[in-house]
Amino acid sequence: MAKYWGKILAVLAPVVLVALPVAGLAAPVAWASSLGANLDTQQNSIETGLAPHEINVKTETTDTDTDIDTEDAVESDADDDAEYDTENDTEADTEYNTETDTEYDTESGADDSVSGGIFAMLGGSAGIAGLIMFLLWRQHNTIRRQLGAEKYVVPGSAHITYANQELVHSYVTSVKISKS
Amino acid sequence: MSDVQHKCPNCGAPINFDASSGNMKCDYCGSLIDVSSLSQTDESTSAWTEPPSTYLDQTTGQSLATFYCNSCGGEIVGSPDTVSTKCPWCNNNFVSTSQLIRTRVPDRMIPFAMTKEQALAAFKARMKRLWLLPSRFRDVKVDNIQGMYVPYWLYDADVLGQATYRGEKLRSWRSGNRRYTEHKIYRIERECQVSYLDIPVSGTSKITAAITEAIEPFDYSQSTDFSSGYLSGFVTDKYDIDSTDANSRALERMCYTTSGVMRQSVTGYSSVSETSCQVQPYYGELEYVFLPLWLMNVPWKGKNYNYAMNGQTGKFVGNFPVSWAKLWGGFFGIFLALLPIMGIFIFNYVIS
Repeated sequence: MAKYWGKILAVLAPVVLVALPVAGLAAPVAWASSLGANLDTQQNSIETGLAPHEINVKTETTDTDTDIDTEDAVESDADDDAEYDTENDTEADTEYNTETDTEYDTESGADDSVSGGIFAMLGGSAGIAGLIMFLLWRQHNTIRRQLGAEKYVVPGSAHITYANQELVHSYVTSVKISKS
Repeated sequence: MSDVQHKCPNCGAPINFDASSGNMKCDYCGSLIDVSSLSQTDESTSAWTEPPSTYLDQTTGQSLATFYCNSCGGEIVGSPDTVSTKCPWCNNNFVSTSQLIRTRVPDRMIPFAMTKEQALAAFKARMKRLWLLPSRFRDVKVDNIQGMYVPYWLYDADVLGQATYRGEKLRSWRSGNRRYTEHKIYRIERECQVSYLDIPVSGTSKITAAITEAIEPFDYSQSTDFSSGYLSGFVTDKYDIDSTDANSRALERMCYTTSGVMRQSVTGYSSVSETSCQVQPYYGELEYVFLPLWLMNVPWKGKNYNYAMNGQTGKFVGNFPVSWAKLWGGFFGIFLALLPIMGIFIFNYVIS
């Protein structure tokens, strides 16, 4: 039975040691997003002078303009005779109408913040611990194949004999900066 | 003319005329080779130049003995008076010997510079640095340390590389309430030439390629002509991987490095992606050499752990067992120690 445990652990250990650092990185991100929602509620409360549970947020229209201006002025850095003449104008207007009624609950926001913090604490600790143990575990096997042959390049023999770069396409995009 | 078989300059596989492209095509690696360059290619790039083989009994009249292992089928070559009781591959006793009739002499060899005691010291020094090693493994008795001359093939070649990339340069600016980004797409071409000297590829299948490559590099400036005197006290192994079978690995490593040389020269772009890469080797010399390795085989809980040390430089590689109790104990120990620190940081500085 002991040897089966050894095999199970041998399979589980690499999985856990890789998964935990990933979880450790994901946890603060998840927590930050939950914290962001909570901060929005607090901000609304400050601006309106109402208690957070009294706020009834109505978002009328969100107008987003996205213009993609494409000016294809093709140049050639090389001495090539090739000449490109392309002109593309693309304009995209996107309009979003969103109406949302959202009632915020202060208590649930606070709970989210605390639970998010605990989740980040657990995930971050597990991630760092997993990373440290993974680095220690990796030192046990130093048998690795070589990737290339850099050590066998004759000194001074590696030359770039031809280099060319040619501009083949160019375009400009623009995005409206929202005033916040 | 139909009986002439051309070979791919990239991988050595047979190539045939491809009517759709009008070129010779390799069905194995997909390379297209210009027909007009074929005669020139075949003369200069078809194969490595190998010096004529010589044999020990031809030059000195001496013969060597071969030791066979009935357990794993391994065989090693040594002088007839070699006292070797255990197989370096599987740790079992050798049970039969025979006289070797034709022993190929290597073109050159690197003699041992590290002793058996130094190999054992390197093994123990490495163990001291491993925190997750089972405590009982530290007391393990290593009684099977074998100095071995491992057969290698050394490849020389000049390699021409040709690659194209797609690069993008971004320039961003703000005007009024808009942010503009200019995208410039470039087609980038690079050609390079790189010379390689003495790329080693193991000629034996008894030791894994990972071990024979992990103990690299060797200092070939200290190589000498073969002398049977260097073999005394050590064993060697006949090559069982032919030079033509081993050359694909040498080419693989050359291709990797050559494409890296070209890629490193492409700078100043926000993003670069490779669209094509071709590598053309011009074969140089091929040599058969003996390189020194100390091999250890430690049985532990029903499993053999293999270790190797470069017999010239002392570089030590191996796979040590892991104590699962230490691994999980360490993990939870660090986890629990970090919890209050993370808690203080998150709840005092981030949330508040």
